[in-house]
Amino acid sequence: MTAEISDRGAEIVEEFSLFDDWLGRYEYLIELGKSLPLIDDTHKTDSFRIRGCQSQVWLKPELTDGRMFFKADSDALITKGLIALLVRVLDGQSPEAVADADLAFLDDIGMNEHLSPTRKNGLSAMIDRIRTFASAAAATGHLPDTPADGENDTEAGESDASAADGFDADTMRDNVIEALKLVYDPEIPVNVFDLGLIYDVLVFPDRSVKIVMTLTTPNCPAAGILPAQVETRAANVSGVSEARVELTFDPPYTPDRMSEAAKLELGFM
Amino acid sequence: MSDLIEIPEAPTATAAAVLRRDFANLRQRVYGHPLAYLDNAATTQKPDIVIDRIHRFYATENSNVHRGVHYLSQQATDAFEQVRATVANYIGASPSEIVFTSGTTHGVNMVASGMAQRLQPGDDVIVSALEHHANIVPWQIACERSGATLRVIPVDDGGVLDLTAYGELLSDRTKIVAVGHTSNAIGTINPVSEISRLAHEAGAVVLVDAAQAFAHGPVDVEELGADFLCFSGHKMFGPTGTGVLFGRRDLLEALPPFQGGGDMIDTVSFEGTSYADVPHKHEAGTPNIAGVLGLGAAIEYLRGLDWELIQRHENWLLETATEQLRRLSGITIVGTAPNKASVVSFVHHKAHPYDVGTVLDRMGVAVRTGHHCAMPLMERYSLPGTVRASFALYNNGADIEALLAGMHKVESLFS
Repeated sequence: MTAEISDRGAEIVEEFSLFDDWLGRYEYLIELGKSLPLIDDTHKTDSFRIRGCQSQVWLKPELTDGRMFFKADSDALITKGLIALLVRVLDGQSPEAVADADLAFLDDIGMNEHLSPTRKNGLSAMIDRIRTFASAAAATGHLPDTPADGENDTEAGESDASAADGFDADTMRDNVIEALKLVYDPEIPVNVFDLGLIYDVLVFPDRSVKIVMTLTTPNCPAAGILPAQVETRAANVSGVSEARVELTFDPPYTPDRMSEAAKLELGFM
Repeated sequence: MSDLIEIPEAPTATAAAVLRRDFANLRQRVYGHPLAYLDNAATTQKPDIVIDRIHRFYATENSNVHRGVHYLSQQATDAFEQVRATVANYIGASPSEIVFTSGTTHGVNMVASGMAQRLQPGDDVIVSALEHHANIVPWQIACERSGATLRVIPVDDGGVLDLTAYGELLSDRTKIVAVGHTSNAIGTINPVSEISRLAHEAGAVVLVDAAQAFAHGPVDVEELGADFLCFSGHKMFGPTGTGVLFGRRDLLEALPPFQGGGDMIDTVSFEGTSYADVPHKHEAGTPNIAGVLGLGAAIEYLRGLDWELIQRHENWLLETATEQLRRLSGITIVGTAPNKASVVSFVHHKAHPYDVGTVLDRMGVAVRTGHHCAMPLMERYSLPGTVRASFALYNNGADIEALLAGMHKVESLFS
């Protein structure tokens, strides 16, 4: 039986209480960061990358005998130290426990400032992604498809989300992408997928689909209708139970997210 | 304390100390340390007269401009238009050439969006490798829409633009050259007058992103040869959400409006609308009145400064910080242009910029870390980002000492 998440958190809080100033706490974090086993370079792909504005995080979840395990890495040592703490608390827990994990210990050790989404170190996005994986695993007993990154990157990943209940997540994802290629930016003669506005297409075992997308600029008035169109197109794909769009501007859009075809079309190549 | 480096006092220290008293926000402690605010390229602090001006507007003058015949509205309109004249006078333009914007990004987008309607396939737009994203992305969008081609002036290892390569990029296809006055990321001051002269010879229009210029000295549009020039109030001791687009009158007249709405029209009917004269054609909707008045106060503040003395002071800050950082082990300075604003960008051999920023923050030192919205430039130097200390007229030797003490701590923690 693994220790409860709250017990492990309390253990960490106790360890940190031994330091009487921030310097000691950071020294300890940096040491933890250095000792965290590196993620295998073959897994440091876009599929497992969570981009922050400042530092980047790689996260690879695994599900073995109903327990979740995480491999993770970051280019910044303090971020990596915090990841080591998270991994220590969550490794070996059930998906249900991970999905509902109370991570208040990060507040209690005075590290909450690193979790604010505005710090852009990728950590807060990493926790969101851990919870998404865990919820899906709790509902179905397996991990969802590894989300594709902006550049049609479908390599690697735990693609065991198929079969069991008679639908193939990969195929559904491909179908959704085909549907998204029918949605055009009103200003630009290229579809939203090839334009690189779609950051993630996640297919869940309940056949619902979540699309993470951006717009070319946060205040693009003409593009305000795009998310609704994307949602409708995706929802109309056969077999999809529900489609949701999550709009994000982190990372912001840059034209290098365009597919080669779109670059050609727009004279970028 | 062994890691405290004492540096000799600046010859200009007394004057800087007097100016520092104008900025109330600098008188605070962060995590128990006196605040060392070295993030001025992101935004400067505001002097009391700017804050007071905004307060006074809302407390005693608030009403809309250009609309009411009533007393308060007339007063507000007069004060608002007075700032236009003040700005024009400060940069050597005429009031009709001054458009109030929400900031530099807004101004660049207005011009790029308007130009996109005129650009054609086969046309070139030139930017430089030093640009902030605000002076890259609007042009990429303009090129996407029009089929024009974006070309980039390369930069050398020290952060200086390659003018020979620039000369080779210029041709009769070049329609616009959009270049920064001062690099936000590494501080290089570009030879804008020369860049403009060459652009004009090729028949191109010049837009200058002067966001980083105004905090370090006066700017004259004629001297720079700028056809358009954009800047932000908040980077020159004024309020956020304010900015100016200067445009030569004929160009502003030819530029299609970026937004439609109230205050920018002559007559409106469903058959068609005729626009107001410049600059109002480009100012749809109720402007940021309080902000503009605050911007006016900031320019009055700038006008009252002895710039010869301030530039000596900022040079001392730049040289001292650069020299002292070089003495520490494990630090590489990024950007060593001979003509540089008081900005020191650097990397530590072991610690990621995020790690450095986190430790400095704990020691009361505010710096910017990351790619500084200049990702192409960071890619040029194969860096994930840098740590940037950017100085303003109120910084002093103690701020540099705090930075050095912080970097000492970083070295002991990460090496």
